[in-house]
Amino acid sequence: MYNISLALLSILLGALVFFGTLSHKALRIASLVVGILSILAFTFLYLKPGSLEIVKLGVFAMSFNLTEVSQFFLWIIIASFILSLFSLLHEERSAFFYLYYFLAFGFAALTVMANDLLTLYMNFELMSLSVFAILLLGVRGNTKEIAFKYMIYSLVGAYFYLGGLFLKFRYSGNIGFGPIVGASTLTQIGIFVLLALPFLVKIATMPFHNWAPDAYYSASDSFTVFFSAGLSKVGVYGLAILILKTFTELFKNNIYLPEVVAWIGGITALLGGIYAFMSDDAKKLLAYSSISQLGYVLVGLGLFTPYSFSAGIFHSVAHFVFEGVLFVTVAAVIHRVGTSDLRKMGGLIKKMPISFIGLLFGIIAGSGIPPTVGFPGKWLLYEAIIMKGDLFLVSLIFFASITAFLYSYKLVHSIFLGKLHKEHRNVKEAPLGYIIATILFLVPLIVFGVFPGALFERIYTFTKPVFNHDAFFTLNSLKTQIGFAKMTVAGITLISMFVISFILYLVSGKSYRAKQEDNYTAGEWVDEDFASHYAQEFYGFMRKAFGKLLDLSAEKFWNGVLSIFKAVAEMTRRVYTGDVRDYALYLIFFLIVLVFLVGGRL
Amino acid sequence: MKILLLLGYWILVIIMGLLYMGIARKVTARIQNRYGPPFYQAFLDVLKLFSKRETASHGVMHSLGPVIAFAGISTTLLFLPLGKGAPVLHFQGDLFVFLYLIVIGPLGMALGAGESNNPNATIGIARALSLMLGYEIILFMATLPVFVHFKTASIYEVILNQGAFPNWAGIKFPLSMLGGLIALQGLLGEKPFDQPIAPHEIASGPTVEYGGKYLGLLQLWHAVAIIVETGLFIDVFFGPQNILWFFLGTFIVFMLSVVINAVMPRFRIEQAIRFYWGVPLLLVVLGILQYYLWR
Repeated sequence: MYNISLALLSILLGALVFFGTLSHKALRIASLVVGILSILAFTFLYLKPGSLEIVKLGVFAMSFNLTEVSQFFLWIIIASFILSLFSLLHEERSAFFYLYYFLAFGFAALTVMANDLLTLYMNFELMSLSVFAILLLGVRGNTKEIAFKYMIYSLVGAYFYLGGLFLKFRYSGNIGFGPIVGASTLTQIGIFVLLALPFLVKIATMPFHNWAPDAYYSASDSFTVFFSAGLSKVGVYGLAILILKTFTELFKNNIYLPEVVAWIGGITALLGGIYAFMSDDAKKLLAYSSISQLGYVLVGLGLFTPYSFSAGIFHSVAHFVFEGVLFVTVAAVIHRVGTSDLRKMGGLIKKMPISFIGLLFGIIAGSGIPPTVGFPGKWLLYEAIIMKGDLFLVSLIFFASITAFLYSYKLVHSIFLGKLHKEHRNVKEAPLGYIIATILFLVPLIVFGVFPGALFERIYTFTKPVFNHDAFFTLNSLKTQIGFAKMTVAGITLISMFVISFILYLVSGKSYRAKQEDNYTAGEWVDEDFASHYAQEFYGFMRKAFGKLLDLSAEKFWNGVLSIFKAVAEMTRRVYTGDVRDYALYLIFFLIVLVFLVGGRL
Repeated sequence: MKILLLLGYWILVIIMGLLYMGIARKVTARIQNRYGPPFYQAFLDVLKLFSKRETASHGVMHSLGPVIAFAGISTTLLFLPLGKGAPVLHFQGDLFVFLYLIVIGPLGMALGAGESNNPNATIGIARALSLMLGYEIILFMATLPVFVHFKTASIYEVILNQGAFPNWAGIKFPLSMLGGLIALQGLLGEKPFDQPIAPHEIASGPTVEYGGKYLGLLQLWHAVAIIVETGLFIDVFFGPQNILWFFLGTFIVFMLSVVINAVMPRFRIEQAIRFYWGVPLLLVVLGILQYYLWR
């Protein structure tokens, strides 16, 4: 049994769901359940780490190996895929959508199993192609334009990667993950930039993030769960593998490159957060929050200290957990309410309590509050940056982390709190699939928050050979040279204080349930048509506070680049007209010039 | 034994906080040439609020909000050493644990206030969160050089490493201390940074729909929050103090803030945020540069 037959299995399952969807609704659900079960069975029964598998394709071979780090990321991808399938049970899409969905999963799995740069590249691109097809079948907005935007970013990344691959081959004579020998530092940095670009595009690092908000907005709501929680990890994996295996020496010896990469991550985290709390669409808000959180991951990976690297990997797991639960609950709400516009929802807590709890824990973890999974990674990242002595970077990260509170609150308030609108009075709790996915996401959210050591132990297995550092964790605590955090104590203290406060609340007087309109409005009469839901221009005043900063836009930047390209092309076209008489004229001019230049010697 | 000690500190801090609140009202009144309530008025308020027979609630989250707020700030308190004499749970978590625990309180209140279907409450929360973009970063950058100077992220170690009077971090890093003091005004929500509450504008913001025991819990939250917020400032900048001097220090800092509050008008929210990104930011950046120069 080969590990890579997971891809074959996913293709088969995709075909199964394809034909199931074509024939009957019940068959679609049945085949999706079969898909969930068989991938679970494969994962638990057959997946074996550490065996080299080679597939011969004519003149060249693709090689795969399930190393420690691949296995780590493969688990995330499988988990997010299965959890997203639960919510997909309730979404009716065309048959091709399901086929591409399974294909995207299969190629993502092959990408993280790849054992050389070319295999990685091919599967990565096939995955991007499947996602492109899924985006074409999107549900909102101008799907064609959005899908092409995604594809163009991916393709540009791919071309750069190919260039990097050739250079790597030119210097080291192979396309494996091994280090580059004999190239100057500057060349190595150049190759790193080329090779890293598609992965930076995939994790939507600024300024390559434009495709992401649109793609998340347009794509099917269940797919975005997998898109953000699972597929973005392929990008993280690519960067991690490049930094861990190919460019280790470069990152160790060069002092500028880690700083630059980390600062790009920090700026992404900050600007992503700011755009997140300024957007009025639930999916776009989550897309920007996803971009912002992956910014921290990039900081961690780029800074290349043992602590920061572990923190980056840990935070990418945290990202899978909380972005997953956020996207699932938002998908559930959209499924029930029929819109993703934050300004048209409100007060749904009374109708969808379980989804509310899911989203609440999602934002708590996203803001990094202990003892949830969002905290240990951020904590370790702060300590790592401080130990490195980069005080401005840590301030930038801290500033970025404050924006998380702003967009989190906007999300939870606009959907669940505030006024319940008349048209939503008959909304029901989300269907079973969403609920199951939400609850399954909440388990790691708490468990890895209280016991981060369980994850750090896995991470340690592949950071130790590179950094050769001591273990800095126990099951429930983290310890660096400068600080200490014990998650269980924070959790227990919080719970016991909650119990005490709750007792105080219980013993003191009764409370009665006030009606929605029973409000203090300075003597004004409130009826149900009274516009009392504060959702329009939630942080409108921030426009004045930020001023010109909000006008900064990568869209404009790339449009500028585009116009330069167009101008150059226009100039070329003036010369290169396609008219034979012009070319004849050029020939004559050329001959005349030739005569003047070398005429004397003819 | 340990737990009893913790509970003892907790109750002491609540009492001190309520006392500060009462004195603050008296001081403000005297500055404004009024007679003002007695200094123990805050105790009477809390007692009255908790003995209300019936209170309006807008739903589960609305009821739980104040409970979470009070639980969150109490947890934070236990991670803050009260001077050198009263190490509480400091050895279980450092500055960053503290900084992330401290937001549980406001988050709980924000969730509770949000459910009330009163736009004033949500506007207050939106402003409070936005104001955090102003003062939190200043406070963080103000404390940063001190922590890095002593090569630790633990608040207790920073206290112990400072030593006696002329070696206080506040004297070593005067610019950072000044920046921190300005940030503290926003953290405490006193004028000119009281936009989240703004009584004449949005009817006291988040608390607008709260009464009875809910408001009582929020009063207790505020009482603990005063000590926690001023306490962090004293701990970081004013060296190892025993618990008496610690409370005196927090009292002085808080009174300074109250006096400023009594004579100041209110900024508009975006003015307040931009204010923090001006001179205070310059001060704390200079503080960090000072650390780099000394290294």
